[in-house]
Amino acid sequence: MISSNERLLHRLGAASVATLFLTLVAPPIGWAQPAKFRQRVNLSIDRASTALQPRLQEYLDSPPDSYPMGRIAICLTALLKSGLEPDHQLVTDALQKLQSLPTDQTYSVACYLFALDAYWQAHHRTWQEASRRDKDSDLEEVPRIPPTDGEVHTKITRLVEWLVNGSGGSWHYTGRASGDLSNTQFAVLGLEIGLQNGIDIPSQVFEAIAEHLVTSQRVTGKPSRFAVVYRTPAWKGVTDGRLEQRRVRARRGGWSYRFDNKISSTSNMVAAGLSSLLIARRGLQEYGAYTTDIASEVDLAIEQGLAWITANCNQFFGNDVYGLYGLEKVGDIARISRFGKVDWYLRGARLLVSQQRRDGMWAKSGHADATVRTALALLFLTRATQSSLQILGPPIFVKEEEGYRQEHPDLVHIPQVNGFMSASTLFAFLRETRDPKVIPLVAEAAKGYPPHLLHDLLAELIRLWTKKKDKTTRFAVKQLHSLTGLEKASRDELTTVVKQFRRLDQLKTTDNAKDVDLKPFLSSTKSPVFKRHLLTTIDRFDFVSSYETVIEASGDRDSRVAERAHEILEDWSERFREVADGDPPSRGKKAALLWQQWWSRHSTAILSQWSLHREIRLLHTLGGSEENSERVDKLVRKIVDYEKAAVPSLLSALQEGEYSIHHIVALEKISGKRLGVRANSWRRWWTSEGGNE
Amino acid sequence: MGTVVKESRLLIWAFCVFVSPTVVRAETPRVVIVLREGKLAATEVSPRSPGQAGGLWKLALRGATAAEISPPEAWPSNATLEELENVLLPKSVQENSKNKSLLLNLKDGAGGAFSGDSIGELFEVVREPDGEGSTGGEKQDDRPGILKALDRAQVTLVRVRAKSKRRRDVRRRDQILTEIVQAAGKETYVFVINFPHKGAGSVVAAGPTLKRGTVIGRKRTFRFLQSALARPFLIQKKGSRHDLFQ
Repeated sequence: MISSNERLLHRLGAASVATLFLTLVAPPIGWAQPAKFRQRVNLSIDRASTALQPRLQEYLDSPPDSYPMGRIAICLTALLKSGLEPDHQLVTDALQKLQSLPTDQTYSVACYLFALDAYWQAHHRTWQEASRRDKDSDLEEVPRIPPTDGEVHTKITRLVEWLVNGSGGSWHYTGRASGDLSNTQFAVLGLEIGLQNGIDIPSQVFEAIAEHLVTSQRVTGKPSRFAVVYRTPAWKGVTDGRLEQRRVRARRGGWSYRFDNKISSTSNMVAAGLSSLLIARRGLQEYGAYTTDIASEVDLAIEQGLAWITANCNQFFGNDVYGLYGLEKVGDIARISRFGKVDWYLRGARLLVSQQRRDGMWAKSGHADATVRTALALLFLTRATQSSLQILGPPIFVKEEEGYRQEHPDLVHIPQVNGFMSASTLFAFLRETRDPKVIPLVAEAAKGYPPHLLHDLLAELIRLWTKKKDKTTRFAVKQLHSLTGLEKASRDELTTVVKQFRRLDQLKTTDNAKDVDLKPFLSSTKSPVFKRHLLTTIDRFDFVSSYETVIEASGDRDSRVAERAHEILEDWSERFREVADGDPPSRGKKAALLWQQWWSRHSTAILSQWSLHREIRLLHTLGGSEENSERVDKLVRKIVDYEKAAVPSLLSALQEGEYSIHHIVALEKISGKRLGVRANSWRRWWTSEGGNE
Repeated sequence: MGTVVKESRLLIWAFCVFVSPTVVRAETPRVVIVLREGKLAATEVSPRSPGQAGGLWKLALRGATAAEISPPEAWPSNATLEELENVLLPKSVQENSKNKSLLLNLKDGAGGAFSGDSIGELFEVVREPDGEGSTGGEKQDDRPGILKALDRAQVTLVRVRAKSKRRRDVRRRDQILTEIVQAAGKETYVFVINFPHKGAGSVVAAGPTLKRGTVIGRKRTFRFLQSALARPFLIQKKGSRHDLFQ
């Protein structure tokens, strides 16, 4: 099952905000090119954007006959990705026009989703820039994804629902039905926008897509070795990202337009098929449906697709902008920097810059698809599919605010970024990148992790411990050994400890926790940290009925565990002194045995007194709400049954400063007196009765 | 400052307003403060199960009680209601409820008891002779001039100066309190402040966000009372806390 934090990362991930400003601030994959070249690309983007704006205006004034929604939306997406401000009149007009057009074509619906996502990302970027300029500004925060109660989210949800409606793993021109790979590519890219925006999409949809693409893949040739170079996300001020070469041995697998594996594959369709399969995998992972059976087939098909592209990379760099558009999807979704030796972005961008016409377009103005071709070229140059995680890094909250704390209970202060971050998001980032530069931040997060969530911290560290003998694994192992006190424990042993921590944590919220035998917890672990945690839980949650566990721990070979157990036993003996006469045993070698003897003499009286304490405390917890009135009456009756033996405990509750009026009711019933709500009146009465508190 | 009405008769109309559902505005918190001073019986200061002051006990069961409040060193026992309002409520609240407060003195009758007339009139209006419903609306029509002012009351301050601890008088004071609480309804905050002529006082309060059945046993200063009274007006404000409230 995938964790909520991974889900968060996925949602934050993919598409968007590859604007000029941000690309310069945080150079994404493949941008490690000379500054001069970057300038040329930026200039090219500017020129194209300037040329495209009047074309979009023409579309708005007189919408084209074919795919009006798709054409307007893809132009709008390209312009927003190129840095057009979201409050620009052209953007407003285009969004209004899109709203008025019928939703009936797969290409168009997908492009509308791209546009809405690009619009929101531009909106977020504008807010971020403004708040960076003026840190004290009162600007309302624009989150990375649109809020669920807003218009943008609602529209995205409806469009995604339109795409999901139907059956099978492919799309036709008019929706989800037996169709072609080009429509499918756009539909699946649209679904990814849904994933990023937290829209629920049934996992069966992704399963159907994966199955359709796996079975329709045309696999050729003998297995051969090839290399793919990945780049982990950059994070401004922390890391520039890291290149990691992976060598794989696989046959070549491609796709054709009609999903027919008897027909030769084309580069455009291989890119379309592979990007769709990568998204399907992400969807399945997000919903915890990436089972071993599916994973083995999908992973193999992806490797075969990568083998095809690596072997035939040259085919993408011709005159077909659509091919480059598809290649960018594969490269940025999989975070690939190079296929073999080919830096796909550098080569593609050089080609596009060299092919750009003087008017900024990529085709003559009379050409039927000049506008769309220019939009596609812009989407390649701006790397439109890059995730906000790749561009911005994990989200940082400047201030620790109540709202953030509710959403992320594991918020920790990270001095290196001068702000608060969700520790689990940070862990997920390291897990995904395994970038050593992120380790000091994660170490800081581990230090500041809320102590009551220790089990979550240990689980996060276990997940960092992989078969890779890299710095991340070494860091995780060291932390785990130190946090559990088990210096040479294996991963399996530590996993067991984590499970015990988790079970113990769940126990705290269980109603009948006091009846659970905690002894097995103690005997099943060697971790002194866990044993101390167990004792602290017993103490804090007042599990007096677990006295045998504490007695056993008082004889533990770890002195700190034994010490903690003694402290608890001594506290209890002091607390129940009135019912357990005689001195409790002193510490020493035979302490556990002596405690056992002492306890066997007094356990009945102590447990009875303890039950009374619990009932008195519960009375306060329940308060006076009407729905609890029956429980309250029952508790009062139980307390009254103890007669005057309950008085010291009741007076002790009154001593705490805030108590229930039902404590007074119980005192009135026991004493037959009406002395009011003041503790002093009752204390005086009790003294006059010759009682001691 | 609010309109000062010294006639106990007007109390009748005041509570007409409270019991009339057409007048109560849910969006603005309404607060009724009953300040009881003077010769109060012990049961009127420290509530106990039903006896002479059963109404106060019931209020304590469904609300929160601060068992010991010390009045300020110089408690203005001869103060006007306006002055009392100044002492009890912070300025911001007074400004907020400007022209929306109603201040009433409930006079003790000759010989230490309430006058039979005022209680009778109160009962007549708050409860119909058969004990059901309210005639508040009809009464408003009879007296439009005064009721117009009462209609705006967001804060009502009623002062009761107890002159005797006799069982009959304690019971009468409690009866009036019961009627006030019933008329105010569950959505209104009711604060009953008891300052006996000797010793520490107390506050018994109930309202939509008050802790039910809780007693604050620690001794509290007068400032505690002031901030508790201001709290219903700040209820929406993020982070504002008070230990009488949930």
